[in-house]
Amino acid sequence: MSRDVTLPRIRAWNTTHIVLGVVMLATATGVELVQPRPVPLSAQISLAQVVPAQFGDWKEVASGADQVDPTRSAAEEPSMDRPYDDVLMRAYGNSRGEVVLLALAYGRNQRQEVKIHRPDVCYTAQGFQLVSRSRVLMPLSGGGGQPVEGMRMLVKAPGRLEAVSYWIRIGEVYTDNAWAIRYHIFQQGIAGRAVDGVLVRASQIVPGSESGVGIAANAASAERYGVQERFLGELVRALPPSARHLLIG
Amino acid sequence: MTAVASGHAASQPAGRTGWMVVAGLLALYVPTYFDLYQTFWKTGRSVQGPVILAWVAWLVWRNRAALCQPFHAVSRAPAIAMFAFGLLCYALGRSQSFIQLELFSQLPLLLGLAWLLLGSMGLRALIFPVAFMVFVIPVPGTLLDELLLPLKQLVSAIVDNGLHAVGYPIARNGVVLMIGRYDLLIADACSGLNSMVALTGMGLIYTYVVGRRSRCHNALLLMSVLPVAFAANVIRVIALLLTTYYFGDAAGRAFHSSAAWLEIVLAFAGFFAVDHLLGWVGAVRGRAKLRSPALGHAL
Repeated sequence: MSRDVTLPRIRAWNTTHIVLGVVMLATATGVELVQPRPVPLSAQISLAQVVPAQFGDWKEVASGADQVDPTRSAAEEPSMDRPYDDVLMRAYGNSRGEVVLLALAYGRNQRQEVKIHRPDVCYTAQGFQLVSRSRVLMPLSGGGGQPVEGMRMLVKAPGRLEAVSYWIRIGEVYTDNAWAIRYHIFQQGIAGRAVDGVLVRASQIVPGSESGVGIAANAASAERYGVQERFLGELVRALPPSARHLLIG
Repeated sequence: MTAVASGHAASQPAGRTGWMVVAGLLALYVPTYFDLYQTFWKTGRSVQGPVILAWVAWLVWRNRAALCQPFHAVSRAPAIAMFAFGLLCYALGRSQSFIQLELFSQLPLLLGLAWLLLGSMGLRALIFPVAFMVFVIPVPGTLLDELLLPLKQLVSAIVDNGLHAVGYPIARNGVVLMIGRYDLLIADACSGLNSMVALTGMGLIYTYVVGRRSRCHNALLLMSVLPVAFAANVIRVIALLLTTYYFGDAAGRAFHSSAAWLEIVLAFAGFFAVDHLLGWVGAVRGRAKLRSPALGHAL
């Protein structure tokens, strides 16, 4: 291996330099060309237009409670992550007096380091404490459709207990496993496809919970998860097919 | 990386073509560092990165004599393979916006280049400085989420107990610290794993630079790197809390951006102190050893 020979190097034109330089320049330009391109923004439909203000028994109401912003992950870094192209926050009420807070956040280009924020991260970053969190399959489309993998989460802050149901779709995956999501983005990216993503979140504030989290509060929140899942199912079915794919791929 | 390139340019008659290598490197890594600046450095998530780079540049400069050695051709295949591997990492990392892989590509790419253009002496002179560039790589967000929470909890618990013990009105709820009438969230940037990683890198560089003769000394110094980095982090959070407590929210926020620098200075003071303490202990023990036979005679 080590056949050390002194090279006669006093040449003005060094082929090695030229080859290396050209290879590096070619890589730098080539890589910019093969980057996956997302769907242009103009081709997107606006969530506010496409999500009906009334469906089934639900009707948009003025939100009494302040909603946790799904786009914020930490107190002092607003400039960093911008994975969202469209965000919708609304409150819906039904004839039984139940109120559900809906938050949708859509981004057309999910990348390794810039992805939809998980609600557990953004709730805790805004001062909430995570009480419980568990995986659940939501049979949204009622009949033949595939159930989506979602999460139930209970969070508390001083004077507030909130039951949250959500799912995050990144491309075609709903998993909670961040490495699986990264792998999916990488795999699609290699094939030249940009991956879009959405957070679909329904939540309800559990009243009378100032005293803390007891058995009663747990039972109350369990009941709310059922309401939220029915709400989300009705929402998905009420959407036109072109908009439905935003939420469930 | 420019330091490498210029070192090379000085080392051999690059003639009219050396600039092509420099241009290639710039074309590859100027966009990388621009993105790194946009996503990580600008937001203060890792101000330590530039400091590490400055260290690397200085280390390369320090070894420049070795880069000007007469050139011996190696068999080129391994050097080319290394360079090609770097290029592949770069292409994958950049096209998939996987900045960690993109930054990692510098290591094989630069070392492959050095090996090709400067020979094995050049490679040997650059291997440590370039390896330290690993610490410029930001910790992936996924790992951060998983590892950060326990670290945050630990930092806030220590700060809470410490300040409470000396009589400050402080209370803690998870990672939210309440001092006086202020609520402070121990955010990612505060007890950043990123800053821990970068400070560890600086500790390793410090150990490499001072290069004590005693192996025991070096080992102990290396072992102190993580605790010192952690302590610097804790002190930073305490300083931030006390600034807010005495001078208000605005002052705290203003201090927050410069706190990273404080942390670097503290960490270096820590490494320096440990290094000199070890030196002092070593000297005392050495003297004791010299004296003990005489002592035996006296008894």
